[in-house]
Amino acid sequence: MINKVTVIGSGLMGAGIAAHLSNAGIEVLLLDVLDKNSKNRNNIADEALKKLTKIKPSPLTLSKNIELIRSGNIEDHLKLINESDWVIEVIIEDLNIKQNLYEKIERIMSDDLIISSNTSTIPIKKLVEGRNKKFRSNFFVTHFFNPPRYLKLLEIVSSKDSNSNFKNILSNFCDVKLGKTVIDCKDTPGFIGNRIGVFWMMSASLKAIEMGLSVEEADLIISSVFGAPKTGVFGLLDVVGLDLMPHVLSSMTDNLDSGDEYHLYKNIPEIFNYMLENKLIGRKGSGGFYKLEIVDGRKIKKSIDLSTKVYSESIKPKIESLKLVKKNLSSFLELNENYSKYAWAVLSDVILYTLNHTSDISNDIVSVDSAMKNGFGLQFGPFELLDKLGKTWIIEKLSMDSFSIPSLLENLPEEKFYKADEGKLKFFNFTKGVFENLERPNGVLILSDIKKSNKPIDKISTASLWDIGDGVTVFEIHSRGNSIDMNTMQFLNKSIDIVDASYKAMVIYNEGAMFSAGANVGEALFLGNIGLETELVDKIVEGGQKVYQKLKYSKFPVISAPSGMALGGGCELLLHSNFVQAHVETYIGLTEAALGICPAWGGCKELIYRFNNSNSMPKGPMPSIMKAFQTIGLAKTSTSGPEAKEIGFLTENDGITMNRDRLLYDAKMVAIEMIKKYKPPEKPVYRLPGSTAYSAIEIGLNGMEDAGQISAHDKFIGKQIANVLSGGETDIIDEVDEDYILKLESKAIQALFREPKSQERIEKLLETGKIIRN
Amino acid sequence: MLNAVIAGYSRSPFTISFKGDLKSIRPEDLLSQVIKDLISNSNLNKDDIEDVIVGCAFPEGEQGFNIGKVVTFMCDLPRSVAGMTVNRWCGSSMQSIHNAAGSIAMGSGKVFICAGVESMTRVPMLGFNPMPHPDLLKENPNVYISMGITAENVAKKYNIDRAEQQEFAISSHEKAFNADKNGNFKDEITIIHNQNNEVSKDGGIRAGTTQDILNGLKLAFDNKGTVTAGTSSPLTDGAAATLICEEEYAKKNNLDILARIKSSAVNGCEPEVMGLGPIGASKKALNRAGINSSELDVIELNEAFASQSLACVKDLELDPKNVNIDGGAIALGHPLGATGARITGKAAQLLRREGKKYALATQCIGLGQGIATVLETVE
Repeated sequence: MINKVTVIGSGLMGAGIAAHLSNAGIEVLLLDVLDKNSKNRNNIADEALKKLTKIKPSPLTLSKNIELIRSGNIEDHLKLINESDWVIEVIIEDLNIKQNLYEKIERIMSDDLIISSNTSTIPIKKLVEGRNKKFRSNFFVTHFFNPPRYLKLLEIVSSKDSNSNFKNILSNFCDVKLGKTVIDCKDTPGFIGNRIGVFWMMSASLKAIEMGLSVEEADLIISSVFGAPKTGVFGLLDVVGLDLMPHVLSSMTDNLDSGDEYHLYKNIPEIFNYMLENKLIGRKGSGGFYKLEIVDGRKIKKSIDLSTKVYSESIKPKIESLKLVKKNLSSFLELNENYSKYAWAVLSDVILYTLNHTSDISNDIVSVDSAMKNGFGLQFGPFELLDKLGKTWIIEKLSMDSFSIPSLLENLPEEKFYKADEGKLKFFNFTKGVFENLERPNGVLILSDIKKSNKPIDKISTASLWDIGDGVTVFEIHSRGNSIDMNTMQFLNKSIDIVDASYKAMVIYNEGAMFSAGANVGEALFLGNIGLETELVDKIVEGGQKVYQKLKYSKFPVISAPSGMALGGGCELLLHSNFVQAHVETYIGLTEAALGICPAWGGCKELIYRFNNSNSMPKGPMPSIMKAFQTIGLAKTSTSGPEAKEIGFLTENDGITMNRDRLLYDAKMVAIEMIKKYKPPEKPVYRLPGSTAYSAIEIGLNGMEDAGQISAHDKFIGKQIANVLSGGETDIIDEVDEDYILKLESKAIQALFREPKSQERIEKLLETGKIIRN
Repeated sequence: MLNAVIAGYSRSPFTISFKGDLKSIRPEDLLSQVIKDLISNSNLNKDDIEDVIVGCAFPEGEQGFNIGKVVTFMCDLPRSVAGMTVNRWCGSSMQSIHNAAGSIAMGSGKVFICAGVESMTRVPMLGFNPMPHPDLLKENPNVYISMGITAENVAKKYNIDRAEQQEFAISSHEKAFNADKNGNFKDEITIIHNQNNEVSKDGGIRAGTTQDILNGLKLAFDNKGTVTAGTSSPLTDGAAATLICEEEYAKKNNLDILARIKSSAVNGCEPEVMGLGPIGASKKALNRAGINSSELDVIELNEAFASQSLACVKDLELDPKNVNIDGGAIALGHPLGATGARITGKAAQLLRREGKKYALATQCIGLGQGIATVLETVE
C-alpha cells in the first residue's frame, strides 16, 4: 500500500508530480536542496509550491489539495523518507548527482521503502551502479510525462534485481490511484515514449524545413495524419521548449549505437540554432515558432518563416486534399503533391524506425502504440497507422522508395497488426509470431473493444445502445461534440423503453474527447429561424424535458460516467442520472447563459433541489436561489470532477475515477450494486420565494450593469433565469412541483430564443466556435 | 434628568473580511473578548450591569440568537445581566449608546455595556436571505439602491472628483499609519486570541498609497463614475464596546470617565444620497447640545465613502484638521455593527487625549438616515 510519498526535486516535474499525488489524496513530502541564501531553509520547495497554485491549466484538481504537500530540504529532512512508502527522485539529469543522492538514501532507507527515478533517458543499470542489494531490489524508473496531471503515460522500468512485488504495488498505485496508463519498458535510452516520440518530432520538423513547408502547413498535416493535437509538431516544440531538444538529442545519441537513425538528426538545422541563440525557445521564452503579439490592443498570433526567419501573422492553411485522410489515408499519400509527399516522408521515417526498434525497447506492439497515444496525445499509435494502410500497400510503397523491409513487417502473417476474432480483440505477438488476445488489466473495460466484436442492441447515426453484460447497457452518444439533437433525444427515449423491458441498468458513457457539448443549438436555431417555433418548443424543449424526467424516474438505475466536458444539456443529463461516476478530468457546467439562453431540460430545477438539500448551505429560502443564480448566470464550469462536487453539479455520494480506462468498469460495478435494491427517487416538492427573490437578483443585476460588468442583454438573460429560479409568481408558503419549474424553464428559453442578440450569440458560436458578448 | 458618561472603550483590531486574521473567528468569540477586556480594564462591579446592548447590522446566523444576551454567558457576567440586540444597520452600536443614555436619563439603570459587532466574512452584507419587497422596488427603486451608487450620487451632487476623493483616502491611511506607529491604538485595541494566533493589528492600513496607485483601480460601481474600492471602506470583521454609566455612579465608583454624552439625534434623508445622513442628524444633535460646528474640537465622521465624508465636512463646515485624527474607516475598515461604538468611544478618548471640550461622532446609514452623538468633557 502506498499512502505517503516523498518527492525529491521541486522543479516543474517534481512539483507537478507532488501536485498530482495530492490530487489522489496522498500526503507528500516535497524536498529540494537547502536554500543557503534564505532564512527559510525550505525556501526552494516553498517557492515551488507557491508557483503550483499559479500554473494554468492547474496541476491541482482542487486548490486545497496543496495542503497535503509539506515542504522540506534534503539536509534537514531526508531522514524523514522512511515515513513514506515511496520516494521519487526528480532531480537534474546528471548521473553523478543522482548517484550521490542514492548513496545518502541507501544509508538510511528501510527495507520496504520503494525508490524510483523520474529520469527520462538514463538507463537503470547506470543509476544503480555501486548500490547495495536492498537498494537495487527496491529501485525502479518511473517516468512521468509533463504535465503529470494531464498526460496519462507512465513508463516503468525494472532492473534484473528489482523486487517484483514492489513493482506490482507501484504499477497498481500509478494505474488506479494516479490514473496513469502504466507501460513496462525495457532499459533502453529514452524508453519507449521519448525514443519514438522525439524521433517523430525531429523527423516532422526537419522534413518540413527540408521540403519548404510553412509551420502551419506542417502542423496541420501532422495533426491530421497522426491524429496529433492541433499543436502539430512546431506548436509542440513551442510547448516543450526548443532549448531542451539539443540536450535530449545528445543524451540519445551518446547512449545509442552509432548505427541508430537518431544520429541522422544529431546536427540540428540552422534555423533551430538561430532561434536558440535569440531565445526564441517557445512559450516559456519570448515566443518560438509561434508567438502572440498585442497589436492595437488585439492579440495577434504570428509564426516564423522557416527560411527567412521573419514573423508574420499566422494564417491557417486550407489543404483540400487532407479531407481524404479520414476516408482513405493511402489515397492521400499517393497524391503527387508536396503535402502528401511530406506526410509520407515523415510517416515512412517514423514507421520504419518503430518497426526496426520495437523489439529492443518493448515487449509488445501494444505498449508502443499506447506510449505514443498517452505520452504525446496522438489518436493513433504507429501500428494502428500501419493498419490503416495494410501490409501489402506499405511494402509496395516502401519498396518503390528503395527502403529495405523491416523483419517485423515481413513476419506479419496477415494484413494488419490488430484484428477482432471470436468476439476478442487480438494483436500480433512478434516474439511468438502469432496473434494473441489483447488482455486488459482487471478493472479496465473499454467500449471500443466491445464495439469491435459486438453489434449494438440498437443504433442511429448519432447514438447507440450496447449490451455490456450482467443486464447493464451503455447508451453512447457519438455525434459531433457528442451534442444532443432531436433524434438523439428520441433515441434515448426509445432506449429507456428497451432497457425497461429487457435489461436492468443504463450507463451513459462514451469514449469521445467530451461527454457532451450539450443540446444541438444549431438545430434549435434553425427551427426558430424558419418559423417552426411550436416544433422547437414541443419537440426540443418540452420533448427533452419529458425524456430527462423519464430517465430520472425510470424503474432501473441510470448511471452517467462522464469524462471531458459535460456542458448545458450534457450537464443536465448528469443532473437527471441516478448516480454519476465521473472521471477526475470532467468539466461540468450549465453554460447556456453564455449563449444567450437558459437551462431548460431541468437544469434549473435540479440545481435548486441540490442546493436546497445541501448541508453546507446556509438555511432559508434565498441562499440556494442565489447560489443557483450565480452558477447558471455566470456559466460556472468545474475544472475537475472533484470541483464539480464542490460546486454542486455532483453530489457528495457520486464517485470519481482517476483512470479514464477504468471509468466504464467502475460505472458498471456501481450499476450492478444499485440493481440489487433499486427504487426510483421520490418526486420532490419545492417552496420557492417568488417575486421577492426575483427582486433581490434584479437589484444585483442593476449594480453589475452600472459597474459595466455585464451588458444590457446579459441583464435580460439574467432576469429570465431569475424568474425561473425564484419560482415566478409563487409565494414562499406555496408548494410547487418539478413540472411547475419545467414550465418556467420552457417559457424563459422561448423568450430568450426570440431575442436577436441571443440568436447572434448562437450563430457566432456555430460559425467560429467562439462565445461573444453582446 | 440623569447624565450618561462614557467610562471605557475598547475594540478588536479591524481586519479585511475573507482575507484577514479574524475571518475564522465567530462573532460571539470576537465580541466577548472585547467586552471582557473592557470590563477588566475598569473598576466595575459586574453585578451593577443592567444590560448588554449590542448593535449588529445583520443579526442572523452566528450573529443571531440575540447575540447581546449570548455574550453575557461567554463573558461570565452574572445571570442578572440582561442582553439585547439593536439594529440600525451601520448606526446600530451608536444607537446602543443612545438607548443606554435614554435609560439612564429616566432612571432605568446605571451601568450598560454598549457594543457592536460584525463579521462580514461569516454573515454576508444583506444577510443570507435578502428578500426585498417587489412592489416597493417598483415604486421606489432607490430604497434598495447599492451603497456604491449612493456614493456616486453624492460625488456628483457636490462635484467631488476622483482625485479629491483619493486625496481624502490617502490622508486617512496616512493618519491611521502614523497613529499606529505612535502607539495611539494601544489603549483601545483588545488583542484577540483565535485558536493559537494572536491578532493585535488592524489589517487594512496601507502606508504609502498614492494617487498613482489609486488611479490604477477600476471603478467599482459605475463605469462612468468616480468611486473605486480605494475610496470606499472595505468589508471588515471587527467588534467594539463602550461602558456607559450614570455620571454620579461613575464618579462614586472611581471609573475612568472619558466624556459626557451631551446630546444625540437620528435623522432621515433620501436613500439615493444616504451618505449625507450625518448632516441632518449632526445639525439636530448640535442644536440640542446648544453649540455650533465651529465649537467642535474632535470629530469622528464615519468614512463609509470618501465622497460622502467630504460632502459632510463641507456641508457641516467642519474643520478638516479635527476630523478623524487617527484615521477613519477607509483605512481601518467598517464592520457595520461595530463602527458606531468605535467612533463614539474613540471621540471620547480623543477628547481627553487632546484635552478639548466638545466632540461629535456621526455616521451615515443605508436606506437614508444619519445618526450623531455630541460629547463634552467632564471637568
